[in-house]
Amino acid sequence: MRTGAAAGHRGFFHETACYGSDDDFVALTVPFVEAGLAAGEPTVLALDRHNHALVAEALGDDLARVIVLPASDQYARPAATIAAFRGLFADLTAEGAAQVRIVGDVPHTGTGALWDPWARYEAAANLAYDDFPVWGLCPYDTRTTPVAVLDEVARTHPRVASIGHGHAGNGHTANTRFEEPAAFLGGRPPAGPDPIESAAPAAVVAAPSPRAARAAVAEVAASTGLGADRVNGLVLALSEVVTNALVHGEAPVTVRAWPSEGRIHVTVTDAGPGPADPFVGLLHRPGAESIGGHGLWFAHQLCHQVRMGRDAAGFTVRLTVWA
Amino acid sequence: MEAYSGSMTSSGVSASAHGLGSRDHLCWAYRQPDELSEGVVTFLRLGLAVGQRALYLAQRPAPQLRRELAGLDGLDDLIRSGALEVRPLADQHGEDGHVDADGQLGAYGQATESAVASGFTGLRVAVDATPLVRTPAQREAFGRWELVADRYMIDHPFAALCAYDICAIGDDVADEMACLHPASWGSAPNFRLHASPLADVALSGEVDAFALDMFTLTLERTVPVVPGEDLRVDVRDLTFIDHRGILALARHAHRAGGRSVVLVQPPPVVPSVLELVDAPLVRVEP
Repeated sequence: MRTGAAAGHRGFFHETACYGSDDDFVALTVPFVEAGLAAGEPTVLALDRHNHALVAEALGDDLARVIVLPASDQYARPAATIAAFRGLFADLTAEGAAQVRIVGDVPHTGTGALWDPWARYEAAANLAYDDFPVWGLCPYDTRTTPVAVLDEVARTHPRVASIGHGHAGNGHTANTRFEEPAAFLGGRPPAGPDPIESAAPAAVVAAPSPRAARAAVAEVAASTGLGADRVNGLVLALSEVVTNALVHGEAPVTVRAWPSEGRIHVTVTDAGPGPADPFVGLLHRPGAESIGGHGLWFAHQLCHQVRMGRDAAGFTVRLTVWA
Repeated sequence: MEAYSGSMTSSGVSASAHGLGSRDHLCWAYRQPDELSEGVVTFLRLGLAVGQRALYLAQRPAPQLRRELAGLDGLDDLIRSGALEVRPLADQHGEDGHVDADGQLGAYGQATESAVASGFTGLRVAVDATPLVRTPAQREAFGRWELVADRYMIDHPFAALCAYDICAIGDDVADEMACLHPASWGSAPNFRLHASPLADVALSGEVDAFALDMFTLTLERTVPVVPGEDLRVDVRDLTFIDHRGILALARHAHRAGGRSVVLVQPPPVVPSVLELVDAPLVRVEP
């Protein structure tokens, strides 16, 4: 049996909450964690250093019973986050967990990350974790989170928690501002060019075979000083994206690369409309191969950043890796 | 086996012939008769220079074959002394044009031993194999022989040039045959399957979505799997493989009743792929 506000809920119970002080953060999260521990539910903390210290102090010895995943590792890249959490949830439920509780600090502009990939993550998470009995609490700090981010947080979480002062206890209500994830993602503006794209690319390969694209990008990557594992990952991702463009897209296909010190940015453009699935790349779903979703999922696992955009030239996948 | 940086020019084989050794297994996809002559002469001359006996086989009368070798210095003396022999193809490969790998191995093995017994350092054969690969069944039989021959060359003083007329068989078939050689001139297949001293077979080059059909076909045709045993693949010289290629190897081993695929000395791309796909029947061995 699931305990707390998620009792009786099937699948992912995805909740957000806003707080404006350290005390409020503790008031929001510590009762959530303690109730999970009291019920014997595996409880996961994936918090930044400051918030983790606050919860650790309040929990005292109970911290040893919590699964701790540093946010900097767990939230490095959205598709990797999804793959890692799904693996964890599968293990915990296989061991018999009736519910898994998790509190996570999702990165955003206020913490120095790009928000767009994480906005997509928050929307996709509703589907990505829905085959597990998970109660996820995503607290956002109103002192550091931009208003535009808070607006999209509200549109991607179906549940909202509020801090009950005094004896009231925290509140948990349905969020009326929640939007269906597919509609939310479909309505987002496509990713625009990386600033480096205003310079001339170091390599342009027109109508390439995947082999020619790999060779050209591996060659220019040599000047970046990136390690072999980074370059290998990029080349593998590129191979998949070019294959998609040739198989599912429309000619002409063009690959461009912008190497710089410790970073390489590569674009693959075809004249087609791109995949229709708004979750493509983030969710590894059955049948994905037929629409090129397999390759984009690979690319999301292998690159630091994958962005997809449409403009007059067609559909562009932008792959970036850095040191 | 060394990899060649074999470059073709419009006039045929250039300086790329340098670096050939006593143990060579080379595919040559030619377009013009004089390209064929030039390549065969270059290949045989290198063997003669290191004391190998040379043999040239093609489906043409012996006098014509001698004319094709006119570029060899002292041709008549070489033939008279037994250092060089030309023979119509049917004598060696049978009339029906389907080679039998075991029979071939017996014949060439005996010819190699006989060359050594006569004081030569080994046997070097150039074959215009165009008539032996016209049908899929012929290519399957010949493909099996290519791999068996390559294995024999690892520890015997036997070298071979397999020439194919691209104009007669087409680019795709030329690639089908070229990919069964550790090196080739005139054709640059995406991947190569050949013999390895470390494993059941060596895979080099690149395997991606566009090479997959030929890779699967070549595996099925030529790479034997022993039921219940691992299929060990030497991938030292593999530069790229994606999940499709790795899964094709696993499928091939599984269908043929084998156990696991063991990738020996994998390049860094292999662990990257294995992290992303579920391939329980594939192992790596550093």
